[in-house]
Amino acid sequence: MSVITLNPPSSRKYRFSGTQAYCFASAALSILIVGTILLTLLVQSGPILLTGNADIIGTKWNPSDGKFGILPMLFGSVFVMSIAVSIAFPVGLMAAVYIAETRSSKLRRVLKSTLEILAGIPSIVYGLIGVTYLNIWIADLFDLQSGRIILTAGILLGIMILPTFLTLTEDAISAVPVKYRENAKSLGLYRHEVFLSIILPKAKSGIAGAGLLALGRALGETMAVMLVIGSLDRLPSPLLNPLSSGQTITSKLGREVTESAFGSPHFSALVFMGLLLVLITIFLTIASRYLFRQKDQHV
Amino acid sequence: MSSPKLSLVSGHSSADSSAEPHCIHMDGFSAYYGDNCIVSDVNLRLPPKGVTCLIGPSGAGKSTILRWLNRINEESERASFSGKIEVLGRDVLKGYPDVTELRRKVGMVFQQPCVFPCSIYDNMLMGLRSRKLSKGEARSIIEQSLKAASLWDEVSHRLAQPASALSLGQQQRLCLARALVLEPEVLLLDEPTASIDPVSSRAIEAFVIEQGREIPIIMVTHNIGQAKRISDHVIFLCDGQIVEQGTRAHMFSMRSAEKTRTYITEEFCDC
Amino acid sequence: MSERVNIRRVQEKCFAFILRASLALCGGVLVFLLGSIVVKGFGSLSLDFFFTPAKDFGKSGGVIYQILGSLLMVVAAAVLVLPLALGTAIFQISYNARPKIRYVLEQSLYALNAIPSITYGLFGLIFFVNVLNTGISWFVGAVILAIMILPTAILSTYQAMAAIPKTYQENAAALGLTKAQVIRRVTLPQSFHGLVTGLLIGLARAIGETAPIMFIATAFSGVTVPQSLVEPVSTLPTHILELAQQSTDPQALQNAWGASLILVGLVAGFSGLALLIRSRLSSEGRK
Repeated sequence: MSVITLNPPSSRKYRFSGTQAYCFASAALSILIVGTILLTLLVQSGPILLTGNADIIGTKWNPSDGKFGILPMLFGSVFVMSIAVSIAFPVGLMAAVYIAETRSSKLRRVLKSTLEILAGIPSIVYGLIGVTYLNIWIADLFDLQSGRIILTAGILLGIMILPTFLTLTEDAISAVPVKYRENAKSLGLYRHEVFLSIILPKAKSGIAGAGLLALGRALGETMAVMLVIGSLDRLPSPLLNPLSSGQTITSKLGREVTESAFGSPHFSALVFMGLLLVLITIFLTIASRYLFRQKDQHV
Repeated sequence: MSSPKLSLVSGHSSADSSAEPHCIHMDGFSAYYGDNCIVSDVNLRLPPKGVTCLIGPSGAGKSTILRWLNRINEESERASFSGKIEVLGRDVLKGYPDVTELRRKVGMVFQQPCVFPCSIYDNMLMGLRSRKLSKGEARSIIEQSLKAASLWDEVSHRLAQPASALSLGQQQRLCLARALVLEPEVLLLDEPTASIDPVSSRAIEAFVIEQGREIPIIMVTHNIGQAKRISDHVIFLCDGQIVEQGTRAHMFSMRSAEKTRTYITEEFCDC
Repeated sequence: MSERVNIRRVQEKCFAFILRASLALCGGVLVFLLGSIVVKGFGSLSLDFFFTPAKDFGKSGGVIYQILGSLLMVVAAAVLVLPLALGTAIFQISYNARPKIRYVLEQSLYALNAIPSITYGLFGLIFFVNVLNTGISWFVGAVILAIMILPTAILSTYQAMAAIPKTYQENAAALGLTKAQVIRRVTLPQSFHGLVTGLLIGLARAIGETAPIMFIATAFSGVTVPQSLVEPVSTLPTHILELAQQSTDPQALQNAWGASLILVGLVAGFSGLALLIRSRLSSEGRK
């Protein structure tokens, strides 16, 4: 009976654990990387958080005075993002509806693949387009000396997140089964009623997920914004004036990280803003993942 | 195998239907999907009352005929048809420049129950937008329709709950009731009992018989027993052509064509 | 009643008009973007531009070292990320039995994917350049890019592995193969296309990134091919950045457009290759 055992079991066992060890190590390293990034940012933003008089929740950013108020940057990020979103979301949603509801699968394929190309254009190239065209057009339009203002950054960012938002929204709308359309139409509803009363409620969590993901992109975008926003570390006045120059967290980091000394409060304040940004975008991504999963369950 | 032009003389609904106008009139109707011919050269005349069952093997083109009667098929990219369809005395294309008008007159219920993502009441309300109605009127119409679909007793206490919480059979009956609030002049049913439980199936059959006394109902079914129970007229299709059509009594007798008899008896054996 | 219906019809027409207008707007933007990149870019392209080094702070000359630097960095990143992505994906699919660990790993990867690119640069600057004291180095840049594309590579591999029918593995296991043998004989060959496409999509993204590498890996001028791991290189995106900041100088802008077209071409090349391999290999794998 025992003759049947051809391979000694020990050798198999050894190879088994070799592959296993490699896989375990890889997975552990992957998690470790995420942990290290977060920890590094946290540790490095420690000094500014422990310094009492840096006025981190203030409106003045002046490294030579030791004032590191991050509000102008935070506000700038939110403001630019809002402009981008209020351009990209309605246009993207409506175009996505058109693509999803069109009967021509050929048109759909062409549009989808072009959008993918568009989503792949590096952000620095968008920045170049902003510098060459957009910022001059805006300056002419509003009769300003320089077009490097919050509005320009917002519009450029809106154009940048449009492809991502559009594709994901289109996926969400297309994922609603045809039977809903057929049933609604055989009740004599018009197209806009079919969309607003039936399709939109069915696709809403998918669309919301796409929106959150696009928000995350908009917040984290650096290069294009940095080139056209004008880099002014003050709150705009009046506060909601999109024609003033501004600063976002990302453009601030892009401009100043190399100018600050490692370990100084200045550097630490910058890292703290980076940490804040990371936490917000991670939150947005996880929320959008949750919404996408809901969509899968419903359909 | 020519398609006999036949004015159906029904068994019990009306004695002299040939004198009445036809509710549906198809002449030389052929339907295509891309380059494939699904239905070829069908001629049909249906009287303004009674239940007509379309039977035949899968892929015979039964659903396709149905789906062109309210032009829901034109939502599919590659579907097209040739020939003439008249619904309620008007050409289906030229007579209804606003397709939604056609669809309000020709109600349709599909094989898969499909409730909209809102409450039971809102589902019922969905079709009523075209009519100016007070809340009370709307409510009474909805109540009547739900009663007709024998769903009222089950849902009257929870009209505000989401419709997706209903069982599949209840959902299908809701779909029927939902189609009914428009007071359609023709009702198209595409295998409405194929995917639901026997109890609901019975309720739907009763509904069809009841409504068939008032309006024409055209129903696709694979269930021969069902066709035998509820139909006034039967049309047997095979490979996109009408093999035979006639009254129930004729089709289920020994006088029907051999092909029909074979199909009917073999389908029975399958059950 | 007919009046009411007409209102609804008008609403429908308005709705259709808004849809068309939105699509036209999107199409217009699209044509403008691609058009300006292609037209402006081709205006400054020549054979010399590809094969000569930059002169006068990029205002004249070509971008040969920038192209080489970009390619060097992303290829190194791919080599770094390959074993890690493969191991993690296999771990997820074959060894990870506990849902909690699976959840943590999955969420970490999505978090990693969400982190804004500039903070990768910040992390690299702190952790490698200052704490580990490497100095400005192209290799550190490659490591950071590898971290950036890690989630894409893992997820793509994982999805390809998850798409393999369970019966394959069960049949292989029924033949008496060990788990490791099943992985090597069945899982790997069947999901290889996922790894390759994931890597290529990652590369397409990495090669266009500026923010993560601009603090830690690049220098603007005077850089040639690096002789060691701890030298800076010059890359296309950072080159464009420098030129775009001199936007008042038409000569600099023109070269920036040329470099942009090359960069977009590289991105499109990697993405196109990814699509090609996905359709080729995945159809072969199914057979």
